[in-house]
Amino acid sequence: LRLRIRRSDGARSWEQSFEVPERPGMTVLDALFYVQENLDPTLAFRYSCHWAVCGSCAMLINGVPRLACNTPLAKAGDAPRLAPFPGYDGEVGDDEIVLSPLPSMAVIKDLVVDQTPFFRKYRAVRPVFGPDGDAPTDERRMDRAQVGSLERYTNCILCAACYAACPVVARSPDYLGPAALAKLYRFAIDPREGRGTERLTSADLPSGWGGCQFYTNCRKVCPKGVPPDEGIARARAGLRGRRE
Amino acid sequence: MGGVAVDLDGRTAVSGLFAAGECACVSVHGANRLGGNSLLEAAVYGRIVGGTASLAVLEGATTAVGAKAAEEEERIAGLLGRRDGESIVGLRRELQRNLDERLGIFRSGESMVEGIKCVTHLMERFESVGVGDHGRAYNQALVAYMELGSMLLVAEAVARAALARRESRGSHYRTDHPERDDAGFLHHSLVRAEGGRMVLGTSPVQLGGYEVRERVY
Repeated sequence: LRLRIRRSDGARSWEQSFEVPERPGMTVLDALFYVQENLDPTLAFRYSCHWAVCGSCAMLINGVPRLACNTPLAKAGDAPRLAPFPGYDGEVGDDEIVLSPLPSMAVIKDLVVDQTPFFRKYRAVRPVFGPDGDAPTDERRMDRAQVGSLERYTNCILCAACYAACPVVARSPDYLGPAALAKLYRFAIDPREGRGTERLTSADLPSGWGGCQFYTNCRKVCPKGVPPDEGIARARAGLRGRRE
Repeated sequence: MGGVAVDLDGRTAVSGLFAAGECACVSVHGANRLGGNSLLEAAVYGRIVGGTASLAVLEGATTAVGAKAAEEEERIAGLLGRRDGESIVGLRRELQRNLDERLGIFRSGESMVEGIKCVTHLMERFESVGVGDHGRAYNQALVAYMELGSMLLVAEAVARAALARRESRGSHYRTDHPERDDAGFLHHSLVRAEGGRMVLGTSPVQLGGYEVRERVY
């Protein structure tokens, strides 16, 4: 199997192909380690847990943002059809997998991008629980249905796959993007949160809820099944309801 | 369960160097740390130690770490200039195999003596290992080199402490000494570097309100 990698050393960029002996069950991350350990120690890619919980290894795999650790080589071709965004429409030949860094962020080296803007937007929504009143003597209890509706959003691992796949982010660098908005929505609907309404109105802006054009790429590429588009739609409906 | 010896605020024996989480040993878990419980040290002590470290910076504490930075910078520059040498990956695999076979879940005095010999030999070879990437940006070959150096050090420390502990306790199980021996070994093993050599010592265990008991599954 051939791995064709979009490389960069900060000053120049080029494409390089590596032949990897495929083993059953081998993931894209395994293949990258094979290259780094046996063929080229200068190849750089971000990773940590190997387990789809840390969100470090998202990259474009045949043009689609996915976790390298969670994508078997055999399934690299099974990806959803998406609305176009930078890096999506590349040629992929038979018997090869094309890897490139996530778009909408500057490349540091090879497959490693500078996630600063992504995390700046994440911090901008103040992703910290802010309860009302004093701490209860007992726990803050929730019913199962409420937990379920929150969990759809708390499952986010901040891998930035949705951010990279979002055509609006690519066009409008000010747009908060799907991950940050999904996080904001998760706090807006948390029954234990004291500033839920304030959180809803805080992103009532073109760079917030208003920016989404419902391409639904975010939901389709999320490795954890988080539906940012749905949260955004519900937030907008909530705001409309408040105005009426 | 082992790690860098720290006090309750995360201070190590080196001024200005703090440790928290899985690399540190606050000793809240006893001789075995059950799966999933690393969160305690990561979250609770991460916060506490972060506070201690920030305060130390605000108070303008002079640290041994700062003084060493220039020296370390020079060492790294030297490493990046090293064009050839044995592969990091091969050496790391040998270390992994050695530790797995001789210092793994079940160990014996005999297997550990062999294990230490092997670690010492690998340490010698490590001196001439090459770093395959000479760039400054996101150099994972350099990271791998530094990690391997630390792995070798930790491997030796673990092996020497385990060899001296002629009993079984917590996650340490010796086929040649399968019983716990409180009279001989109810203490922490502490490894220290003195003049380039590892010196093994002990420190007392604070049991608090707990009675030492075997964990049965």
